[in-house]
Amino acid sequence: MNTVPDRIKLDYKTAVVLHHYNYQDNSLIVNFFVQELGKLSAVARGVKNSKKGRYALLQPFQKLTISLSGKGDLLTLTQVEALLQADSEKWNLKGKSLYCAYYINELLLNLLPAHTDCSAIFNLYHEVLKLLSSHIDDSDQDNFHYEIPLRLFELKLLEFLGYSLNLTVDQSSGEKVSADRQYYYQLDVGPSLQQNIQAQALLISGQTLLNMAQSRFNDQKTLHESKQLLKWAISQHLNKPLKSRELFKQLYANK
Amino acid sequence: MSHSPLIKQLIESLRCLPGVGAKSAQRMAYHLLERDRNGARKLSHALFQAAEQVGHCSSCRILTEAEQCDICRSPKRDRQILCVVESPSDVYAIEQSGTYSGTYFVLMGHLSPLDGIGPQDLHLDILKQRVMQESIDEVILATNATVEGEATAHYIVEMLKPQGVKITRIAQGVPLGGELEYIDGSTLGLAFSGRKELD
Ligand SMILES: [Zn+2]
Repeated sequence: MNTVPDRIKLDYKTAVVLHHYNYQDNSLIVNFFVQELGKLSAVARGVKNSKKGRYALLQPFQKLTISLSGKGDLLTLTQVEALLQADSEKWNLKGKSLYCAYYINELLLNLLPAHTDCSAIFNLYHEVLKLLSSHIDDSDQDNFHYEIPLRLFELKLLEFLGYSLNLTVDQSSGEKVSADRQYYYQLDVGPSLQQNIQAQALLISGQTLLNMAQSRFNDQKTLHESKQLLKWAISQHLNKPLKSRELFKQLYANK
Repeated sequence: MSHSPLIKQLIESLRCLPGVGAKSAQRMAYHLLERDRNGARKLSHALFQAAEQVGHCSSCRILTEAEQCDICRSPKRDRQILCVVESPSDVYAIEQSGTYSGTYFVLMGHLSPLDGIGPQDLHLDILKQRVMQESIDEVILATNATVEGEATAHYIVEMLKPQGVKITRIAQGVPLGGELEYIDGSTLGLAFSGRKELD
């Protein structure tokens, strides 16, 4: 049953800017990640001419308190200010970290529900961006600092959205996954020692599955295999390829 | 009262201007037709010529009807320094500050990872070619102090690193969210002299 939604008035909500784009001459449409309410979009009127710096506040990755009102899918921003925070909580996204953070924002833009309490994923988002901020030296050869937070976020986001992966039970035998075996992973069901030739499957080690089940991404093999599995799982829920991923590939194509 | 077809067409065309709604478009149209026919003819001629003939400078991408713009052609400019900016208004702001005598590369925008605006849209291949072919010692990145400006600067750094050119970024005095065109000349001068080398 479809009813016209009531007028909404939200005051002083904690939020982060996921994305913004130009709207008419001087305004922006801003996609917010609101802690208690998930993804909400609002028009910020006249901010491009504002000398009060509201335009700077509405850039991606800004932590804010905001007030919104209106009805339907596009609300109006009525108040915005920077969230007061300790220096240790501030993000410092540069270089590769910034590109990783863009990828996370694009995932959220595509997958985050609206009008749903998303506190769990909101807190994880903060942790992950903090981890990414802690490493700003691009010359470092290893990719752990970028890859671990990304895999963790992807795994937890799938869980949060109700698309948890079966990582521990062999779906054909009902036995526990064993670390020293290789499994055929089918997305809807999980790992199996037997190959079902009719179904698409990813070959993945039992050790990786068990590590993922414990959110442990501490070695290259686990990172590599889990990346393939998570990328596949996430792609099932996306309507289009991610643009940030394309740009990332172009940027680091030769590395 | 409804407008005749030609007047209606004029009003609708004027609405493509930024900040011009139906009311002001109508006011402009009537002003031109009632009070300033000569101005109207001049405007129409100027618009037509500019729209047909203005393109991009082949080396810095700024708008010009010539193959190369005045700055790029000027013998007085220092060709060993190249400053990368987002928009023509940034060039104007830097020129006004009088602190810079090198040449420019104008991106006509910035990378926007979530909107699919990539290096091709900014013609970064032309920038790379210039750095490879000309004897440029230093590339100054003067993209805006916004998140997109930072993403764009990082991309250019990664792209030019293999060329072994010195790359600097203006930073000091430019506030977060600051767009160059809104920054006064003296702040901009400081920003230039305080630029930092990136590695
Ligand atoms: Zn030029």
